[in-house]
Amino acid sequence: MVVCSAIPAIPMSVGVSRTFQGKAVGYLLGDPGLPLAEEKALRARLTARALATLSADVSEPTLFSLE
Amino acid sequence: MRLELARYVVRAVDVGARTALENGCLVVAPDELRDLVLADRHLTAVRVDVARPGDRLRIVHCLDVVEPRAKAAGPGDVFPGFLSPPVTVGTGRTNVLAGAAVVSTGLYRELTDPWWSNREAIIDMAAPGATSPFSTTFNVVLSFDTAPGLGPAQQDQAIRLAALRVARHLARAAQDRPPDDVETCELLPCPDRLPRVVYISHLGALGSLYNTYVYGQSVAGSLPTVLHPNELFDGAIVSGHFRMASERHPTYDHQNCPVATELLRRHGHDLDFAGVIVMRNLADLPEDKERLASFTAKLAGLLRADAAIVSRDGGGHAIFDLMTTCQRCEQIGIKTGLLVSEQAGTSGTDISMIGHVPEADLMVSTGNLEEVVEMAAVDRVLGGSELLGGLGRPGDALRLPVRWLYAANSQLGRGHLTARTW
Repeated sequence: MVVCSAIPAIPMSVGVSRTFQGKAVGYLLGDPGLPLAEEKALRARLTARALATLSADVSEPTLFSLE
Repeated sequence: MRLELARYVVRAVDVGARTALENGCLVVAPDELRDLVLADRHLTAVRVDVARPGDRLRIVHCLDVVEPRAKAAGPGDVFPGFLSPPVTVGTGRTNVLAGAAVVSTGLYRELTDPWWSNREAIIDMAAPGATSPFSTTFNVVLSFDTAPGLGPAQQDQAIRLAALRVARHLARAAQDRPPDDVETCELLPCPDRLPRVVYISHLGALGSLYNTYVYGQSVAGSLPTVLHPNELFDGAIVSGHFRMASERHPTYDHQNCPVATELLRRHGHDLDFAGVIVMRNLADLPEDKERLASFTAKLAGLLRADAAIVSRDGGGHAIFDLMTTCQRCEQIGIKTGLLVSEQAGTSGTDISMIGHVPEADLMVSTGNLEEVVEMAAVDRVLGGSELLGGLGRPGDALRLPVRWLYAANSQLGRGHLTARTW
């Protein structure tokens, strides 16, 4: 499982194995400040990266981000 | 900065033909208030009622509560930035109608997204539901009709200005009369080395209809700044948020801020009060949360604070603003204590907050939002004819979590709740 959160301290404090850094409390996988085409591309990148973390090997609660 | 707070203790409230303050009775003149309020074309009608402690009466749809105050001397006016230019207040003399409160009520109904609409907020004047701090004040209750076509933000601003105008107008009735007592508020340099304490007040800003104002300006997008406690007493902070009822900070509670008041009274005796830092909380972006908490800790360091008291505003991810502020202060050697409410379930045994840091080793609870309160049937309901959120019929006996009772869990520490061990 991967939990996407703008505040990783929450899932990590309860022992979630994979946490993915979301953009903001109000919009985890996007950025409404961007032009729509750019935002859609960002959404796709964030979602793909979040999915990719599912296959990462972890031994303790670990934080992943887009970069 | 020296301010005299001249208190006129209000022990009764009544309706009459002219506003007056006689032998502790505040006489409220609905026609006078109507003329005052309806000068603003955004408002088309105002209903004025009074509510006394013990009345079998319930106030619903509470928006804000304001204490009647007016300047008797000194620069500026109360509620700077709203009723007057934002010149620095906190000097001179301010008349206070202690024990009286102006309660504004309303409902921003046409909002399309219910997430942002205002939530129910109740004040019961009679036991056993009299859990709000405003169950024990003599209340002037205002409800309004707004002009057609106004959006929620315009309605909100018009109602806020009306409540502030009424509060100032009522307090002007005390002009040239002898007060019951006068408290002098100033921060003279301490002759001895005493622990230097700063008060950090988190101020909520989450979006439309969830705002706090400093000198008339929303704190959204602002960096933390420093205020003298006297500025709070003159209404420099005005409330504008309408979400979880029991956690709201009414304007009244900023005017009467318990932490600032207590620190000021102890200044020069057993501590050295360094001032008030106001910090916007509930920012959406993680980097904004870090920026705000780090700036706050830096300001506390520049004020040479040895210790800090931080009050949270609101709930949810506000806990991380609180914890990050605590951590950043502790990391630079400032001992930090926190004022925070809990969501610990009806039994009080659930996990009461969704996160914490090891540095948060001193916390004072302002109560559990989920504690159930019994409320008796009432004879009259003011402020509306329904309860939002399917809570029941407004005049009936109710059994509700304290979360719906206005300001009952105030994280500024002005609530009536106590804990008992058995």
